[in-house]
Amino acid sequence: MYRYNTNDKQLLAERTNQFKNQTLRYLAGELEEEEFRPLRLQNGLYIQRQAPMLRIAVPYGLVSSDQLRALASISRRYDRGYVHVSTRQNFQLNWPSVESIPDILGELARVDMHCIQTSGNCIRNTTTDQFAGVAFDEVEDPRPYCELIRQWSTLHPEFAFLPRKFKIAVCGSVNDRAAIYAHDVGLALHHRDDGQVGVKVLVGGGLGRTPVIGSVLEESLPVRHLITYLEAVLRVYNQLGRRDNKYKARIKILVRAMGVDQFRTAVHREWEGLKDGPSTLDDRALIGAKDHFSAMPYESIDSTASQLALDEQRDPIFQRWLKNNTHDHKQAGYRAVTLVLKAHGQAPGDISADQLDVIASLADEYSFGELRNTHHQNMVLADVQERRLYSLWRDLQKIGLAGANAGHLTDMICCPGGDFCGLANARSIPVSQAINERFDDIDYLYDLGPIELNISGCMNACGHHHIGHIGILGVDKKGQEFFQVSLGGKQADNPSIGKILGPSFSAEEIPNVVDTILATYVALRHDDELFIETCHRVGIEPFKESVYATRDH
Amino acid sequence: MQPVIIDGQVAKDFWLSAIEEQSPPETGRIATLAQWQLDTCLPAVILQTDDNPETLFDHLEQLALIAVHFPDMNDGRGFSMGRALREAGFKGELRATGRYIRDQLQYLKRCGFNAFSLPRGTTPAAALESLNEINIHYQAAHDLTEPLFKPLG
Ligand code: SF4
Repeated sequence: MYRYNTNDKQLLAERTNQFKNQTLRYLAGELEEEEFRPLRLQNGLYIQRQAPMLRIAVPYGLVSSDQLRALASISRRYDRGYVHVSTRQNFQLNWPSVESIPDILGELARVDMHCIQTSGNCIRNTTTDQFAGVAFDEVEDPRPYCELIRQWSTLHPEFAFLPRKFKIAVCGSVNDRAAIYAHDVGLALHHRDDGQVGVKVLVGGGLGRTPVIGSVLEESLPVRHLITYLEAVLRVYNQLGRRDNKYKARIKILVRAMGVDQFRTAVHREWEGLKDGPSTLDDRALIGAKDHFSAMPYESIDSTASQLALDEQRDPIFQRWLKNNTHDHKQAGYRAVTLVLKAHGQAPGDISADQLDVIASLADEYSFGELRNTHHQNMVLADVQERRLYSLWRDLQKIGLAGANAGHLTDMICCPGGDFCGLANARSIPVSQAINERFDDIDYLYDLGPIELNISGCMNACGHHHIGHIGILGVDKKGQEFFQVSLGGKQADNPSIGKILGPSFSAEEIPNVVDTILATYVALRHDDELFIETCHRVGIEPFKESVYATRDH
Repeated sequence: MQPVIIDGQVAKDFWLSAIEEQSPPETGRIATLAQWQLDTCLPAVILQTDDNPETLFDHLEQLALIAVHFPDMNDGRGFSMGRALREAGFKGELRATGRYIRDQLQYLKRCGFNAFSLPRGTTPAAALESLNEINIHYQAAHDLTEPLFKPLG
């Protein structure tokens, strides 16, 4: 992973000190509330319902074991001994006090961590595939490009006060695991006919109250232009994006108002002056960035032998875990492993300090001391030898992180909702827990196959409900919490926005509603047809009929 | 008279702000864009954040001062205006005025502003300090032609 050099360290030290002074000035009454607000947001600090929330950046989801240990220690001393993995691959602390923020930031900086641009109307932490660099279907490793974007966007003087937040996602594989169609800018790396790396540029995707699938801005931009082109896109957005209404301020609204062709023309006009300028990525810059992500010191392994060894492990529970939670790897004899953070009785994505400590040691022991956070609110050990999987699985069982449900119904995405978030209409976590408890028959879950269930506590859609196969959205009806259910959303490979089933339900009704939806699928599915495929083939009507027919009102 | 900061120093303001009714303004005053458009020989003009800086592009050599007025600290358009004017070749005084705070001064400077009216509630000393809070920058901007991600050598 990228290791900080003296420049990075100096920048972070100066920035940490700057924000410390800003916080002190605020606490001393020298900075007004509305002046401090954008400053603290740009440093990941929310003041919300219960307590402040501090969002810690994990650049494109990569984190080291030392960083995890520091985080565990911080969460014990300044918080309640756990952290939360967000859908943008960051960590969140839910209970720090404002006064302790400068100290927390100081401790984070010691392990090269920070909260820069994890919130606010600026360019946010860039996200990518959790299997970047190891994925079997990878065309080009996205991490060097993510790192270049990180550097370019960090404390960018021109784009710190955009009309609204700006999120970039990068994918370098055949299958998109970074939801690039649901971002302000989505970038897909590929190899061009001329042998160069190309970037397909999507713009104006996003969820929130107006869900939009991104439009193609460039089919294949030579990668050396990546930064100058992004600069042009941001400049057009910064100048023309709406600032009068925060619900209409995202770039998707601008792109829709102008039309993508006219937007492209504006970008090209701006780009003319920037193209081939100093921020052009010459070989020096590209090789320099790639050097940080050279291959791990893998052993060369006879994969047939290590496969056989795995097959010999007869434990059916292990075999399930192996099938669901481990993933094909570029390197023969290795697999990537998903740790599902969706245990019963806890909020999806939460992980305790004790678990973090153990995971850090496991990363050291099994996976070159690195981990990744995923946009599904899980964690990944990316480089585990096949022959050591059984022993890893046993170790994970001891800390309750061997759940074999990766990619299945109960491996949900769920935003913090009304338990923590000041914007919420409804409490999403209890709904996720009720579903988790109701569907704990793992054989049934396997029979259902892969299903993505996403829950958001309000229209802001942090839980990505629009692109869940089953989406659940908290709504407010005369001060009461209700939930709207949608079906058929899809994040990648012909992405689509889910269709709303009909009138909303109370929290208590949701497990039954989900049950009926699943039963309907089982009754209608063709051989080997996935849930999402059945949804798209039969449409929403059969589901609607069965759900509202069985509803006792 | 309010002090201004020019090129990293506290200075006396040579310019008076525009008076709307007056047309054309007397010497030493900064013209509004509308006034300037009536007489493009005027040496100083102030832009609002919804004005298009390209309006001035053909006259940058005659202009001694361009000011950009920030109506609100969250209105970030002025940052891009600064860069656009510098990239178009403006060499004169580029001044920020209005409601930004001292914590934004260094960003403004990096976008090409070399002059600032003093932000509300800030001492000149504090403002000067804010101009140089961070000394390492990753990206190219007005003050730095080579980005850090292009290692030398
Ligand atoms: S979706 Fe709404 S409730 Fe959930 S975290 Fe986002 S803003 Fe809060």
